[in-house]
Amino acid sequence: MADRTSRRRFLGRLALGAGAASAAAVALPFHGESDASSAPPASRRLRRWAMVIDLRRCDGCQSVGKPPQCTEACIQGHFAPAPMEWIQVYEAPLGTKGTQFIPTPCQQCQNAPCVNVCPVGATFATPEGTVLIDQQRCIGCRICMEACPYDRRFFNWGDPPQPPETMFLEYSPEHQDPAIRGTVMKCDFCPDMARAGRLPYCAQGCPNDAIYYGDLEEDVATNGRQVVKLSRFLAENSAYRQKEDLGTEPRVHYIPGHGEAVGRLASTAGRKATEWPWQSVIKGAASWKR
Amino acid sequence: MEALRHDVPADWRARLESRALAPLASTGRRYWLWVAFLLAVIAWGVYAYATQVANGLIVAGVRDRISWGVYIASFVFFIGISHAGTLLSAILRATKARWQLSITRMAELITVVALCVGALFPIIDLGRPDRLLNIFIYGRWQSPLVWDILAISTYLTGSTLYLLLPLIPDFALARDRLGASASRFRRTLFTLGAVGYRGTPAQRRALERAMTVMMIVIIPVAVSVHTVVSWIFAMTLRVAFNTTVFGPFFVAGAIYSGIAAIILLMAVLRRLLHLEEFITITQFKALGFLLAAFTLIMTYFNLQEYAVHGYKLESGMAFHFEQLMTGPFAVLFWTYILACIALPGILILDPRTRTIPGIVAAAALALVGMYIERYLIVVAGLRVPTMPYAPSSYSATWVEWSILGGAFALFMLIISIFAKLFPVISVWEVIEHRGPEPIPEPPRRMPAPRPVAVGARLLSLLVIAGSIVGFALGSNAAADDRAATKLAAAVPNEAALGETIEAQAVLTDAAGRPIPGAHIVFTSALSFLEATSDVVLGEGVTDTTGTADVSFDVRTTGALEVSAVFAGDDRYAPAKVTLPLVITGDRQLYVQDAGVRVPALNESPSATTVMLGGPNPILQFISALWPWASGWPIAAVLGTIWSLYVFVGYLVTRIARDAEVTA
Repeated sequence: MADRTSRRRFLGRLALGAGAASAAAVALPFHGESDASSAPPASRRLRRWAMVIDLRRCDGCQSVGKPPQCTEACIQGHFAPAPMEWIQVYEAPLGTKGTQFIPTPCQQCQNAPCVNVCPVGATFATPEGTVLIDQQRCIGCRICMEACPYDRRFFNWGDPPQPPETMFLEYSPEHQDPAIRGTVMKCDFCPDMARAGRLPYCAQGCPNDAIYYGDLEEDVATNGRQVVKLSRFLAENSAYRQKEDLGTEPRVHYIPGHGEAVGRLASTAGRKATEWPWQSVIKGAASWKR
Repeated sequence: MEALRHDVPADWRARLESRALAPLASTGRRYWLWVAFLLAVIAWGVYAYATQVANGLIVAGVRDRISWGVYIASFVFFIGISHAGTLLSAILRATKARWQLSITRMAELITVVALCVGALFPIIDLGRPDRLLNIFIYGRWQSPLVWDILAISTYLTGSTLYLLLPLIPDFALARDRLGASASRFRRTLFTLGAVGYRGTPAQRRALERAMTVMMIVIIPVAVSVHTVVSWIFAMTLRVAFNTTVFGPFFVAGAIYSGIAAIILLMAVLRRLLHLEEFITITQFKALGFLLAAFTLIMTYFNLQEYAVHGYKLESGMAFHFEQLMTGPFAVLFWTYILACIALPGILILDPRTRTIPGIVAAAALALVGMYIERYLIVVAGLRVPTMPYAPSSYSATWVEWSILGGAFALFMLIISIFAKLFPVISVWEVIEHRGPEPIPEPPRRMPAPRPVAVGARLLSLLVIAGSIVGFALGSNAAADDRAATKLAAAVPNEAALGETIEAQAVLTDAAGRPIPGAHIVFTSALSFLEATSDVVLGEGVTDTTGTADVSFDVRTTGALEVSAVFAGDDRYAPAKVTLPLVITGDRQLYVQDAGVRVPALNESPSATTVMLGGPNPILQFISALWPWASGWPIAAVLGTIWSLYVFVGYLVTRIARDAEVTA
């Protein structure tokens, strides 16, 4: 379901000012009012966004011989500056032999440590359950980066490289363009995409349909191919959440496994490094390592 | 100046006054050279900071995974040495010790200057220093950084007051003695600083009272400051910071480094200002024993920290221990433990090295050690990986070292300037309460500080009710050699959102005989985002009457089609029946209530709004105010302390008013 053109079209709509629906979504981001085909119009019910990542289907994109495609799609869609991987595919040791790939976006904790410690309320939780950063308010103290137990926050240490398109975008914490030096960024869970009836970039990018995006309120989730009843899907597959014992109550669930559904042996390892294709065309940009 | 002690020899008193006031009257060339040197170092530090402002924090060594470094370590270090003043002038004064009176002024000076310099570091560390004011515009009670700002500003105000109060009689002394020989600026300063003090009994009483109030207030404030500083680490979910001992550990380390700082400063000023007669081996030995006592306290806290973590060795701690004890931080760690905690204690407890040079060396080691410790806490603590990634590394760049050098220069510059503006010895207190140095005697005992704590919790429920209506029929012809089946199902025509729907399916063969043990699935086609597919709502197994009772809820509103499906097996052909189902309602079903909610600390305003709910405008107004009102316990504590400061200010105005009356 790799739909690369959708991002460009979406940006184009915004840039032309023709995207009335998108503009409304930016202005009224948290009231579930949208033209999404899946939602009944004028409902007062708030969406409660959630994600399920089926690790049985994730092989770190070894079978396609490319860098993790969720990460790539996110980078292309959000213009995330290098070395930011808002959804990062960690390679964790698996038992005594081999490794397991764990795609990790911001876990969207409901008891979010980063929200608690922010001195200016730049990191905030929305009623929809997303944790967002207002880069126009962030003072760059980085205490949220200390507080996050999932290593999911990224800092613009220098002037972040940004493509010219971002200049036409209206800034929203739900779509953190353009990136601002001295502020923190992370996965925003793409609720603006979902409100417009689209899957987040990472779910679109996944060649194995391992990433499900869903709504706890409507109790459904989809990977773009199949719709599931979310509560049943989680219960039947013994889903877990990362570092459950910390009490952070993440909105990102995992179905245990290690890519066997796509034919990957647990003992195989090795992967291709993430790339930032859009960034290669920008000259003289600052760059740093994580 | 009325002296209470009548046994003070006049020549001793005259020598003290002239020695203490001498630096205020004349300034040598060496002083200006020193100031010029410090200014040059500061200018270099400012240049380094300008580089950082121009390019961003990319010029520093910190990165995403170790995102605090030298700046935050220096912040903790400087705030730590500020505890010197509190210990000497408040804790020892409260216990009626007298030996420290000739060095209290220096200790209070260190407190104020270290706080000013230390408070710069979090600002230097900001990615967006231009948005500093956001803290005051959008500040949140819940943030440990906001607690830091509140605690440090309260401590700075209190310790400035506590520096200025005992200065009043000394300013009066300088005003009366130096007179025309001082510059006009100094004369104005002395006159203003003395607030008309003439030593009348009423003024004395007001001054003593103000000092007693400050002496008591400043002790809990100082303890709370370093506890709160430790909380910017302890409040995060990092394995190396996950310890409740951090508060008292930081306070003990702060006092340890504070004692070391005062020993160094008094050794230097004693030499430069020729105060050997008034600051003697008595003060050095007493402070030395205090330092030795704190080496033991620090040993205890280190043991506590490493024994408890090391015994259990929770995930992450093994890595932390390895990196500290044998890994990249081993040299720093063992220097800190052996050379900066054990060695200073040995130097002081061994009578052969319990000399002024020996004690100064011990203090210097302690100070270096405490910087190392702060660095290790910040950098090594953050280096422990939180996720499966290769450990990061950090080395400070020239920008960070230059800014640190500039900060030390600034620290020394402010002290050098203050040494020219007021006596570095509290002349009147030494004269009144101490007199000439007696033959060296053993020092007196001293106390240790104590910590604080908080906690609470809340929960909510989700209730679902159920019902049944109507029947409908359907059939399915067998397309293969398996026996044909007939599936009848019943679901209500209409249901409310989230309501438990009791559905029933009856599976029979063509002759109407029930089929037991068949797996019946209820599905419905649902659309979400880009996809539409059949979603399993619930499932059941038929009993001996061929009936499967299945209950499920549907959370999608609108007209749906629910199907009961029998997928078929070896003997029976598949069957399916589809029925309409209208789901109505607009009720929010998923209410989140995560985490531990501590009222006034981390309770979120949105949860309060949900709790109060409803369109009641008064309740909505109150809940909208909650984010500001939620900090009431903090506001109450701060209010108490600040009103005591105001009271002290009032006492100072009493001194000034009394001067007008007597004049």
